[in-house]
Parts: sequence; C-alpha cells; structure tokens
Amino acid sequence: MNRTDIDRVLVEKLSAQSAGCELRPELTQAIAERIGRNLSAVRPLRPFGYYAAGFALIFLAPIVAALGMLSTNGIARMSPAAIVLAFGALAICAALLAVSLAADMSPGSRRPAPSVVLTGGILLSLAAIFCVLLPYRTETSFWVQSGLCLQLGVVFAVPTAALAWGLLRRGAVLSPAMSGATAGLLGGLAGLAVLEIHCPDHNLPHVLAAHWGAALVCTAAAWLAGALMETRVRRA
Amino acid sequence: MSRYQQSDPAAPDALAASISPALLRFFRCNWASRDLAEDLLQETFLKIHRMRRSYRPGEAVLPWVYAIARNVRVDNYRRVRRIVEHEAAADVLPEAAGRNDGLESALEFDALVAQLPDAQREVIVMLKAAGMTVEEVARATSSTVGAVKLKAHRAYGSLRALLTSRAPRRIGKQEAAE
Repeated sequence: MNRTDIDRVLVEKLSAQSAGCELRPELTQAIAERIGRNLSAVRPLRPFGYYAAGFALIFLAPIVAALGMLSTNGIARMSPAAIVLAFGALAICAALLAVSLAADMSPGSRRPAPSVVLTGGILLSLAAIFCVLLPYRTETSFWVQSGLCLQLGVVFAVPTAALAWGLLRRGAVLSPAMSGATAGLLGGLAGLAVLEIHCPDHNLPHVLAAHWGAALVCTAAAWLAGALMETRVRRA
Repeated sequence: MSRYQQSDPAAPDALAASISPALLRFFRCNWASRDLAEDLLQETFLKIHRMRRSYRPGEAVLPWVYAIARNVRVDNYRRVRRIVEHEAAADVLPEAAGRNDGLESALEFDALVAQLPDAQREVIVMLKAAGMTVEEVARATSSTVGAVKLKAHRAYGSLRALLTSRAPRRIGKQEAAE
C-alpha cells in the first residue's frame, strides 16, 4: 500500500457523510451572533519587518547607552578576530530572536525555528563559542568579580526584556512562557554585549558565570514570569 | 478576515460558516466528544475575535486560525488533566470528558486517525481534512517544514500498518459470519 492508496482511502473516508460530524446550523448562527455582538473595527498589526526592526532597536539601545556610560576596557583587550566572532555571533543571535519575537506577535507566522530550539540553541552555541575562544585561568576574587558583573548585566538586561515584552504585548501571544523566555534572552544578550564591551576579564569561568550567566538568569526569570502568567490566565 | 477586522456585519457569518466544519473535525479527530468539540469551537471563535487584530492582511488565514485552535485544544487538555489529577483521590472517578464516547458513531476518518499519536494525527488532520499545505501546517504548529514532513511520513507509515492489518481482520469477521 503506497501513499497514493492511503490518500485515496483517506479521501473516501473523509467524503463519507455521517450525522455525528455535521455542524449544527444553530451553532454556527450562535457563534456568528456572539462575535457579531461586540464587533468593532480594529487596526491590524503593522508589517512583520516593522516589529522585527523594533526588537532589534530595543536590543541595540542598552548597548549604545553603555558605550556612553561605561568604559570600553573589555573590547579594547580583545583581538580583532575575537571582536568579529563574539559580536558577530551576538548580532546573528539577536537578529534571530527579533524575527522570532515578531513572529510570536501573530499566531501562525513563519519563524526561523521553534522558540524552545532557538532559545536553547543560542544559549548553548554562545557557551560553546566562549569555551573555544577564551582561556581558562584560576582567579583569586572570582566570586566578587563575577557577582558584580552579573549584577551589571542583569541591570541592563531587565529593562531591555521589559521593553521587548511591552512591544510583544501589542500582538497576540499564545504562549507567554516561551515568548517570555525569548524576550528575556534578547534582554540577556544585550546585557552580555554590554559586559563584553565593558569588562576586561576575559577568563572563561568568569565569562561563563557572569556574562553568559546574566543571559541565562534573565531568560529563566522571564520564562518563569511568562509561565506564571500563562497559568493564571488558564485558571481564570 | 480583512472585512472582519473592519467590522463588516456580514463577516462573522461568513467566517463562522467557512471555517467551522473543518475546525469541528479538527477537535473531533483529537479525541473530543461532540459536546466538547462544540465548546472548543466556540472558545476558539471567542479567541479569534479577541485576537483579530493580530491577523496580518494578505497572510494565509488557515495557519492563523489553526494556531489559535491548537492553543485552545492544548489549554483544554491541560485543564482536564489538572482536574483529573486533583480528583484522583475521589471514590468514584468520573469518566474523562468524552475521551472515547462517540468514536463508533464518528466518521471513519476520525476513527482511523484517532489511532495515531497526537503529533502525527494533528499533522494528518491539517493536511488532509483542512487541506493545508506543509508550509501552512508548519506555521500553525510553530514547527519547521522538515519536522512536519517527518511527522507526515511517520503518520503514513502508521496508517499503512493500520489499514493493512485491518483488511484481513475484516475478511476474517466476514468469514466467521458466513
């Protein structure tokens, strides 16, 4: 039995009528009346690119602010190849997240990858890039330095994620948990970029715990907030 | 859909009449009883109404509608599961809402695809009953075209096994009747 045979069987079975599956006309009428009662004109969402550009700008805003407010010791200590690789990877990841977030605003939109895959993939690839690029050395003040950097990263990441969530809410979010995680990661990447520019400590444990850690913390917190919101909405 | 967004009074009727049968079948094929399927259909339309702003004119309507319908189905599944979990300690457990009832009276198509795993069934119903393309199914399920093709391929494998195993059984029954 090949595909054509199976298709033929399915079509035959589909076209066979059954009283059990016919739509009651009164149901269609009731639905039309119910939604027709509150009918008012709405302005549709703007084109996809408009929101994708909006998310990209939200990602860039804290980085531009950090360039004005903080020192650029981190980027000064990086080799040109490391700058291209690290910031190129960050730019690609941010662009993918911006497109994914713009897709989240309208159900059934085309997206680069499922949100779970995208979020997990980005976090893992960045960790892999850092592992390949950065040296491993033991530090004397690891916890203090990492704590300060983590704090700074989160300070830049949280408002970025909140702004992204604000823009996201202009559309229809079906899964607040995953959309929240995506917005959180966009904020986290902004925080990570700020730390890469500012922090001169490019030791692997420090970068993973504090810089990459800021992105991870922000993603997890945003996912949790979204999941709580989802549960509350479902129970209501 | 664009007329609906612009509050054309005839649009709700047209929308309900055009997509309701396929949506009802979508819910029926996913183990819902007739009553539950009708409830889910109404819930889907309320959600469509609330989210009508998020439809971008010029885009395909079916992926947008089915993404919402799928979300309603998943929400319902989680709600039912939570209720069943919370009521597990009761002496007499109520029947899970319409899991199997009406299966015999349902269309043969529904009964056949009901035997597929959830993910494969969803893809086959969208492809065959709703007439969507692979690309549209991928968009509705927040998946990729490759993943949808893989699920469809596996579903065809399962259907082949089901259909070929059914045929001899029917013959056997006929022989026994004779």
